[in-house]
Amino acid sequence: MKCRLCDSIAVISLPRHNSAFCRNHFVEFFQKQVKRAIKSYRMLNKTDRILVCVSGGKDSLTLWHILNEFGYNTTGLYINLGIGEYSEKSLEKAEAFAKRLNKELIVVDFAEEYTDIKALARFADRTDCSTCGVVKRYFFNRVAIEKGFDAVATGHNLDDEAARLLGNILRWQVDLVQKQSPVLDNEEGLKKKVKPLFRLTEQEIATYAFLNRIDYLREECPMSKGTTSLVYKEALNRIELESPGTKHFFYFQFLERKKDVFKHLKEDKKGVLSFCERCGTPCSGEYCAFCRLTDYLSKSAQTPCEHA
Amino acid sequence: MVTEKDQRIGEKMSHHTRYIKVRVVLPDGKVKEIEGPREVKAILRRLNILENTVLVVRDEELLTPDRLLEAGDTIELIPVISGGLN
Repeated sequence: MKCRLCDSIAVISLPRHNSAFCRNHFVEFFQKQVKRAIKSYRMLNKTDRILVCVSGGKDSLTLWHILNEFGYNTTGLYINLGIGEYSEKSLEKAEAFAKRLNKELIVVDFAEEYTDIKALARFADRTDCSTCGVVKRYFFNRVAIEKGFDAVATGHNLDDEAARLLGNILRWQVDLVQKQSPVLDNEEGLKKKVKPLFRLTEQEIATYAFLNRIDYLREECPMSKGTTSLVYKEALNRIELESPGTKHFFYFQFLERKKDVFKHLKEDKKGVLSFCERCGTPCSGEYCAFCRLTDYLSKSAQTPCEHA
Repeated sequence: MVTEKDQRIGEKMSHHTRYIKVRVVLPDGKVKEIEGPREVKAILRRLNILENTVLVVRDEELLTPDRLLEAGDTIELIPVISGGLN
């Protein structure tokens, strides 16, 4: 297969764009997609201080790499969640990459300060992934506010977003569906969050990482094995092979149409938001999800037998 | 009677479909020797791996699904799917 734009041998075939690209034209295509994402959603300005959340995996390190290539002012944030050897290896990758870019990496040691994610999930009777999500979102926001960053950037990609949308629709979680967006603007107590890789698939991101020799942790988080998100991703990838472009159409048409479809819900939501009595984070009840989670730790310390 | 044209077509087809032995480094790191068709796409199908879930690498080169392998080649399948959505 040859590159659509020149005679070189292609390094990737992109059936959803009816294309194939050589190394140079693929990198050009990739950069265009990220620039388009940033511009169309007014995600970032060149003067912004951006906190890039890095896990040591392909998506977050690729994001950091490309934002750095574009000349954005970035700092990395790594959160140690205490997932044994996996966390140790992922921190090593994040630190090595920060060194390569000559950028600062902020490390938050959640496991040291509180406990490991698995234990917290057990105390709270929640799934590992949802517990992890609450913790990470809390620290992304807290660090960004405390250290005066303008925006928080994460490496969520098209597969993540399409799988999340599919999962939310299958369970008809309308409140979650209407919130899903590549950008969440600044609100009181919440820093702007952006997903500049939302136009790109995991295969495209892995290809960019490979071509740019980004040394990421290939090993998957041991706690993500068997999660429903992987089931949704596989289902979408199967459909995509039979009908190229479906994944893209599913998510992008949602973004296109959601403003009209969910207009009335947005109105209903206004004025409902309150602030966590303990940490001040915006939430829907008395305490935010993070404080409710960490409450389980103090309760478990008082009654250890319940969780034995 | 086999014409010259038929012979040429036959040779071309056998070039694509003849079975060869290749070494495959699977997404979990395990190594498997398989005897199969030459096309990357066909090997992935045989291994029941979706072609949009891996990168296929031979000697530091990325291969698209239509590429043909040679007997004795080693290819590495790099997984691209991350778990968890948070």
